[in-house]
Amino acid sequence: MCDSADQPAIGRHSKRSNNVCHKCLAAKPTLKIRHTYYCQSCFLKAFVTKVRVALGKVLRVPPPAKPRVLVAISGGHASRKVDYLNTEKKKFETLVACHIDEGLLFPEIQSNAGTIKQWVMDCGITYEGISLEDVFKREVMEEARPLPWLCTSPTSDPVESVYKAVFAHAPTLTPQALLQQYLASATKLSTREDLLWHLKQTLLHQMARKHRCEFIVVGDTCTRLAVKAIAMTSKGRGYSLPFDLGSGAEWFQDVQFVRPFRDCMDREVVLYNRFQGLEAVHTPSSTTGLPVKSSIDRLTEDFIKGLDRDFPSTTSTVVRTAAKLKPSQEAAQQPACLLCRIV
Amino acid sequence: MASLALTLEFGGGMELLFGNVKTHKVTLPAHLANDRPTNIKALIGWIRDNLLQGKPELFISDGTVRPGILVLINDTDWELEGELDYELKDRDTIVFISTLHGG
Repeated sequence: MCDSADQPAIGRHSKRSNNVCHKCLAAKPTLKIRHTYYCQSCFLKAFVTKVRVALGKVLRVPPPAKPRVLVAISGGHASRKVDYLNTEKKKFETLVACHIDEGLLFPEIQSNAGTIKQWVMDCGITYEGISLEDVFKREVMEEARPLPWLCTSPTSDPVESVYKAVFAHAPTLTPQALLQQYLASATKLSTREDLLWHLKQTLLHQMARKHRCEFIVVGDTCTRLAVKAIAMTSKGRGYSLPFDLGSGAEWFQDVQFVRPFRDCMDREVVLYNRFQGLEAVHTPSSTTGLPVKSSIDRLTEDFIKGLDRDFPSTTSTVVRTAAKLKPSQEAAQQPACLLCRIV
Repeated sequence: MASLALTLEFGGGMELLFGNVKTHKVTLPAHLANDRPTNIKALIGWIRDNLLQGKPELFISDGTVRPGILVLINDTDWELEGELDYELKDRDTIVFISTLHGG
C-alpha cells in the first residue's frame, strides 16, 4: 500500500528547504528573490554576475575598437553602484558619468550634485554635470552635432530647426525662464512628468554625442520598466514601447541605450546597496510626497509594486512581454518628432 | 515592566516623513496591553502615532507598510521573519527603505 508521506514531491522547487540558502545550501537565508532564498553572500555574488552578464552582452563593438560609454547618474539606488563599470574601465575607450541637475525644479531641496560628483570622482570616472535647463542652451545643441533626427526638413540645418521651433517666440528669455515656461504649460502632473522625461532623454543623447559615445548606460530596473510599459500604454503611447524601453538602436544608428539592471527588481538593487553600505541620495520627483492618484506614473507604480509583493513573477512577465514588441521596418525611415523623437 | 531598545532606520526618501532624520533610537514596552509580545504590526502603529510627521498614507496602507517600502529586520528581509507577526527583541534594528521613484 502506498504511503502518502513517500509520494514524490510535485513541482520544480517543492523539495527545496526554505531554511537554508538555495545557492550554497549551507547558510541561513536573509532574503527571497522571486521564489529563491539567498544568504547575503550568495545574493551579492549572483547580483554582480547578473549585472556583468547583462552589460557584457550589449557593450560590444568590433575589435580592435573599444566601446565608448556614457553612464547616466541620478543619484538614486540604481545609479549608486557606478563602480561596477570602473572595475572594467580598461575595456572602454571612453567612460563618462553624466548627472542632470534638476535643482531648478526643486529649489526647496538641497542639490545633490556635489555628492554625486564626489562618488564619480572617487571611482576615477570622468564627470559631466549638466543642468536640466541647459537643454535650451544653443551651445549644448551645437556640441551635440550631428543631430540628423532633429531636422524639420531634409535640407534644413538641425540646430537652426530646433532654434526656430523653440525660441522664435521668446528670443530674450534665459534657459531657466524657458524651462519654467515650458513646464508651466503642462496643466497635468502626468504631462509634466512626460515632458521632463523627454527632456532628460534628449540631454543624455546630446551629452553622448558630445563625448562621441555610442552607448548610454541607464539604471532602469525591471520594476521601473514595467511601470513605464503600463503607464505609457495607458497614456496611448503603447506604439512607442520598443523605442522607449528598448535600446533605440533602430532609430539612432550612432547611440543606443543599455540597461544592465533590466533583469533586477528595485528591491534587489536596494538590498545590494544596503549590504554593501552604499547610501543613495534622495532624488525627488514631481510626485514626491503626493497621493497615489496624483499622476498616471505614480498610480501605475503603486499598482506594480502591489503586484510585485503578492505575485513576484508578474513584473518580469510585463517587461518580457513588452520587449517582444518590435517597431516596423518603415518606422525608422520616417522623419521624427522634434520633441519625443518618435515618428 | 520590560522594555525593548530598538534602532529604526529610514531611507530612500522616507526620512522626509520623519523630520529628515534617518536613524531613530526608540524604546517600546516588550508587551502590548493584551499581554502579547510586541510585534512589527504594533511597531508600525507606534511609529505612525509617535514618529511620523508626514501623511500616514505615505507610510501605511491597509494595516501594513505601503507597497514599495522594503522592511529589513536585522538585515534580513521581513518576509523571512514572519512580516507583521515577527516578535521584536531587544536591540533589534528595523530598516524601512522606500523603493518608490522619487521616494
